[in-house]
Amino acid sequence: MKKATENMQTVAVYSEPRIKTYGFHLVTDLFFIELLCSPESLNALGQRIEALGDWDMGFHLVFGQIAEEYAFSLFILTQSSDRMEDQIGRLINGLSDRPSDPMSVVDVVFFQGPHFGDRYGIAHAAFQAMEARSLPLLASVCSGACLYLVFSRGKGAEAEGVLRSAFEVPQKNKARGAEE
Amino acid sequence: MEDNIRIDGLKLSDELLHLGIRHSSSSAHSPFLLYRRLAEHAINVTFLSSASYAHDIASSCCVSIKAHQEVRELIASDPNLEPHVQFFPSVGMVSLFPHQNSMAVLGRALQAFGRARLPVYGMGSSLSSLSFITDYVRLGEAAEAIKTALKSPSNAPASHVDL
Repeated sequence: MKKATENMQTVAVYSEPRIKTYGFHLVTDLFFIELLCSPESLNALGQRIEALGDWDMGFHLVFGQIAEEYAFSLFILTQSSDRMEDQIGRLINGLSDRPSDPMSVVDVVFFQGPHFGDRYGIAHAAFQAMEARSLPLLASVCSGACLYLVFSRGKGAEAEGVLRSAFEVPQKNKARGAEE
Repeated sequence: MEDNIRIDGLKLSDELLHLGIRHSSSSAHSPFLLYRRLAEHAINVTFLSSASYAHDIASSCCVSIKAHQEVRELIASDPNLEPHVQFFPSVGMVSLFPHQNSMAVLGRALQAFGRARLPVYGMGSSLSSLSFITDYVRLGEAAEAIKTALKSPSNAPASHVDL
């Protein structure tokens, strides 16, 4: 006979006026690159991206989603530099069927908090805060417990301020935010 | 040259429902309306991504397959949502860690999926993990493909966790 405790799940329910976080992080002036590829060219794309590692280049954030039917958009955010711009340009021209767009430069704000991986409402709270202040969001991604939000260059500090107002920040981070 | 590109482990999710959302930038309704509705129904989003273009905003998210029926009903009941959402049931997420912010790790993982002809419906990096969304029935195959492309601790099985 099965024990009553088998197949039970714990569901976390939170009730707090403002969602607690561990604080916010701002990274500015990152290249924001979109690479469009078909499923058949995923291997070739991977080879060229692996080669970027030979140039001692890393990513700050990467995400991908289905674009048009059967195509996949891979987005890479990386430190801006002349060398990176040159290498990424070669990568884009070698892979894409469409003319490469100029790489944009962006700011990223990211944050996490208690139990972010298994509670609801975090993304909604962040999006709502941005929309309330009409702050355009270029991109967002969350694949674990950390939410990343991408803004136009120069908008990151404003976005961080909006988020600090919308979420609960640890006391020592509040003081640091006030000093900056 | 010795190949020293390695990871410490892999994590596999339970079965998920994948949603694709596309809104016109000129729409009167928020492109993030789905996330409001999911929050109102206390449904956790285990993965999300979004990108804004000149004329529209494309978004993607995953929830537990256990919420499938509830999510279908809440979307079907909202005329501001229903035309914009596509359903892709029965996906799973395989996460490798640590990614080390390495283009080599990223490139090798993409090659693994490409060579194995595994579909990638979405992917994203977090502080230390790099996650890929593929067919749930092929999640084990994806884990093996990644382990072949990237060194991991010998005989380390991919751990299966609830997301």
